[in-house]
Amino acid sequence: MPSNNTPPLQIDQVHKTYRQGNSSVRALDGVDLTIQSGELVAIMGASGSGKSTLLHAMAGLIQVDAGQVSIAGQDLSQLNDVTLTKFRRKNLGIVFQAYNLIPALTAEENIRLPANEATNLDERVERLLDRLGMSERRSHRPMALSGGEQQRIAIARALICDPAILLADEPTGSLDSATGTTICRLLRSLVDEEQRSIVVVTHEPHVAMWADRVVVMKDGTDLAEFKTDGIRDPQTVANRCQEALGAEAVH
Amino acid sequence: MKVLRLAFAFLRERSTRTALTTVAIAAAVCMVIWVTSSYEALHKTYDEFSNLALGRYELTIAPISADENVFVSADVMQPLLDDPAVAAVDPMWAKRIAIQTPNLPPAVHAVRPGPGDGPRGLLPSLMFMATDAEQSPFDVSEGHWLSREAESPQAVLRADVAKRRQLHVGDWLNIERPRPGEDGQDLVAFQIVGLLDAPKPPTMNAGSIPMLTPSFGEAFIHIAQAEEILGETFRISLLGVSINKEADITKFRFGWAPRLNSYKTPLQFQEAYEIEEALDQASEAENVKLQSYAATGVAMLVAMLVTFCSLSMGVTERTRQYAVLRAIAFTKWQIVSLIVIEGLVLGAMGLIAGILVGWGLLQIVEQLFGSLLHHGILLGGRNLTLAMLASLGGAFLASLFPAYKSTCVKPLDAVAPLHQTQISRSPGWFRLMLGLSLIAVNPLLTFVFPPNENSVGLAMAIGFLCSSVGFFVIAPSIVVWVDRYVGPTFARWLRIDPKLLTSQITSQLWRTVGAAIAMAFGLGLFVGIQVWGFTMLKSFIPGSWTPDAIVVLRPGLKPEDAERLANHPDVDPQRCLPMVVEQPRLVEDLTHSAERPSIIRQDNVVIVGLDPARAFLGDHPLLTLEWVAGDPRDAVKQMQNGGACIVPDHFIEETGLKLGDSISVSPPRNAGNKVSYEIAGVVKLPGWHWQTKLTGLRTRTHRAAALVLADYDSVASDFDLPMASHVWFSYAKENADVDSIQTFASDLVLHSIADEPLDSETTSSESTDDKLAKVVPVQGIRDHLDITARRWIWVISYIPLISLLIACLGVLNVMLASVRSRRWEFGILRSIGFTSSDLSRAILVEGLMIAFVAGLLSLGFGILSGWCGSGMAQYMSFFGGLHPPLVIPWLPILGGFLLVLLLGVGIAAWPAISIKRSRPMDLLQSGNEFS
Repeated sequence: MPSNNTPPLQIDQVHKTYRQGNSSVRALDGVDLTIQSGELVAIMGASGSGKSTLLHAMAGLIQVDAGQVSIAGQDLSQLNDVTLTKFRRKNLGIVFQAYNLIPALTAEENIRLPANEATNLDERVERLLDRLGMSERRSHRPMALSGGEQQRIAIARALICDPAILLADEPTGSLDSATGTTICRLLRSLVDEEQRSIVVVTHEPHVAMWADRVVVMKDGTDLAEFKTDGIRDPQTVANRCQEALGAEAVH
Repeated sequence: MKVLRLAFAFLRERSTRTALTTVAIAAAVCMVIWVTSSYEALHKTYDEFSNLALGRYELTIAPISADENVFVSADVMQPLLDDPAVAAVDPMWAKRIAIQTPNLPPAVHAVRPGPGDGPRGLLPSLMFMATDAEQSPFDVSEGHWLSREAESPQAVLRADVAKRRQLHVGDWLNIERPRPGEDGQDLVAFQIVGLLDAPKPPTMNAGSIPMLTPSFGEAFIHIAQAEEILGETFRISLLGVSINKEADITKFRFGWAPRLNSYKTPLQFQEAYEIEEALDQASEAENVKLQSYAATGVAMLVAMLVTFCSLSMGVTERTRQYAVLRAIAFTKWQIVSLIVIEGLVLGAMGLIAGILVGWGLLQIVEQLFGSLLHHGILLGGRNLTLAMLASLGGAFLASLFPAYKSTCVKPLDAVAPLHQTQISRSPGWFRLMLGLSLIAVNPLLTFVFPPNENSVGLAMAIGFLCSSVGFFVIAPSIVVWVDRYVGPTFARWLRIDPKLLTSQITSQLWRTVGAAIAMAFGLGLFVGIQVWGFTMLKSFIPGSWTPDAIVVLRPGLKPEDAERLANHPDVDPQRCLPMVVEQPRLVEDLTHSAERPSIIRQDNVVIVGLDPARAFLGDHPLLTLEWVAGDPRDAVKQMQNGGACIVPDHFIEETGLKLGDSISVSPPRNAGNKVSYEIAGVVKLPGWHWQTKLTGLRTRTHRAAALVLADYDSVASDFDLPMASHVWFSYAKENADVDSIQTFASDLVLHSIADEPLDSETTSSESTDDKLAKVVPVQGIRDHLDITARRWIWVISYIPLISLLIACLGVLNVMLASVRSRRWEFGILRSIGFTSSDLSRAILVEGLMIAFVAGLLSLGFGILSGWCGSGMAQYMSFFGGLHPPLVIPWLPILGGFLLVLLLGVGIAAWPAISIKRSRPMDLLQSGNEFS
């Protein structure tokens, strides 16, 4: 059983290599990362740096070759397919760049999809719809919603099981900047008001600036990390990233 | 619950596809309901018959063995009569006895009849039930029951038999005496004194039912008269048992069952429910049952293929959705159950719609064309079960592969890039070789490693399964081949830019394969039936060896009178021979008929006596035979010396006999004796079966193992046939006047009866009564057979053709899905300059190419199956030893191929028109759809 001091998400020396024929690509090369409760962490890096692979490892969507991914003290590699699915449903919320709502279901049905029938499910759905400002759009199907609305529904779906950790893969990648900012504010408020832990994978400084901490990755390693200290300035974040990458280049 | 809700949501999402799939399954269910309703109705008939079959008896006792030569021990009578529960016991002796053809002119009765009743007539015999029962087993509808005090022989007929044979109370029934009486008389006249209101057995061929009841008796006579006619002592075929009203029949049976088993010949009780069970196992029921199962099997496969196409498309389109579901909530098994439920819901909707529509249509047809429905219609447990099996079973099976495919979807696929298209341009050499190897199994099992009769079913099952799987395995290679080589040709014909057809059908390879196989299934079966049917037909059509016609003479002519037929100017005098014909039983069971189902009683041969020298030798032999073994001259010499014969090659193969061996037969008119014939030659006689059937050469039963040719005098003497019953002849010219020959032959018979010399002036048209002589042209038999067989082949071809039409709905689904998934691509093409006409023509060609693939698969599967099926037939007793050459009826096959191509184009018309009407911007916006 995890103790009260156990971090919600801990990654120790994780390695992952993709093989294609005779060639292989080292996607993660000894990554260490700990996410604390009530912390929003942004993972940045160029394309191919391993940031998405790291997120997939955190979500248990891929099996790592070595190292350990622990959510609330539970080593994911110890779980089989069924228990991992149930564990993920209970402890993790995932938000995708392409929203990935089920087109055949309404907004509300999409939100309800991961949840088991529970006595307070209706209440939770209402609360989430209210909080995300989607009450009026609950019976619309995804095709009838804007990108921002779809992403808000996707976030609501990720939150319906009340997970401690939310993993977001380029959550604003398909949105305009204004809508993207709305989504970022929403994520920030989930951390500040509900003490959730959120990991956002992004390559955009104006998304990363909402994080408490930014982890910069390159070639499958966590190159550097820095705290944003509440400065919501994309340029500063971009510069700090550049510095981290530049320092690597010097070394 | 969540899974169920999602399954319904997915079905609603693709409402057109759901509707088309439901309609297709419903049509398949309709087919099952249609075919199986007659099975259900037949069962009801059996139920009704079984309740009446025992007449006034509560039960009957008969040997367990259905062999007509096994009898009830007489020892059982007295203990039964001593039982206080028994009110009466009536022993009965069942025997089929030849009767004189009724309604002949009085003069004809005076002479011995020739065997047979001419073409397609009733058998010249009745099933007699000899009994001394004081009361009639059934209600007497007219006249009275057999009287003990009667001075002359009496007979009571079953009313339906009397009606069919146009006999009435007071008429006389002349019965042939196999063993002539002391005074030489060979006919006994029985007066019909009553008609019984007994139920008519549901099948005409009582021999095919492995059970005997009083109602199988067509005529009832006294025991003493039966003994006198047959020259045999009375034996008990069955006992009718009446039980006292106060007795408990169950206790009676319980007490007697072990005692009945202890007799030397084990006996059994027969009650209504046991009769019903026996009827259900009879050949006619088996045929209808087989048809029902075949229709169910075909419907199930069609429903499966259509549902498979629908679900498979769903899985392909929703890969990403399944991945998302896996990532956020669902286990693998929930995804599997989602797809299975989707399939079952489709099956259930099709089932309900199919039952409603199928039953409604049947009701309408019954109202309008009731006579078409031979067995009537009924909706009951059996056909509903079969309909459920076809729809739900098919849907379940169809869901297995898509469900398996869905388990391969990983949660990670949720973040894979959109719009991935799989294009396969490789013919898949391993797959091709594997498929061809599997296809080769069927011909190898049929022709290289032939099975015996016991293993023929297993060999067929393995062979056809392997070839079905083999064609399925090579289907992707054929798709690739057609895409690569046929597509450009079509493009040139339709003036389409070949680029538009690049990878048109290989982009979603398995979807195309599913659609093509759905179409190929129906056409493949159709081609198979056509090839098998026409190949088998070849064996049964009289070949060129036979002369032009046979004249049937009743009652017959002295051979020297029969020879005078050659005097007719239209008869070739050099090819005209009188014949004597008999159908004796083989003494030994050479064809193992006792081990086979009762319908195939090939325990006898048709033996024809004719002048062997004129029949087989000289410049103008009557029969131009192909000799397989033996020398014609030696054979003729042997036959002239007596006791020798020639037989067809398939008989040798079936029995294992060889040249020089003998066959022994039992002359029906001299029961108890046997005569032997040495095999002096083996010849090919293709089509003798129908020739003997339609010319009355089969005089005793409907089936025979061989046509045996022997010397006239030997046959006439051995089988007590002093008169020629037939003349075999060829025409002197092409346009022979058959009517004139028939009139001439009738006059010969009439004058012979009247014992008057034939005066050429009286031969014109003094008598044209074809009851005395009937000319049966061989060409007429060929035509009749050809027409009948073609009708039969087409009747059994309707199920595949219907299944082809149903499958088209599945293919339409595939086409719609295929086009829908490429709307964005079409939008791009429109925006870079292709016209809407270009695109719609490209879609039409896509339909054509799928149909072309289906056509190729069908041709391959159908021809191979037909060829192997006819090859396998030689190992079955029914077709024992026949080696029909392969016949491919190209006209209907090419017609079917063309139909499939037209259907392919027709199916593509809807999506083609839809794309033609769409604006480029609408098409481009479809790219945003989540798929």
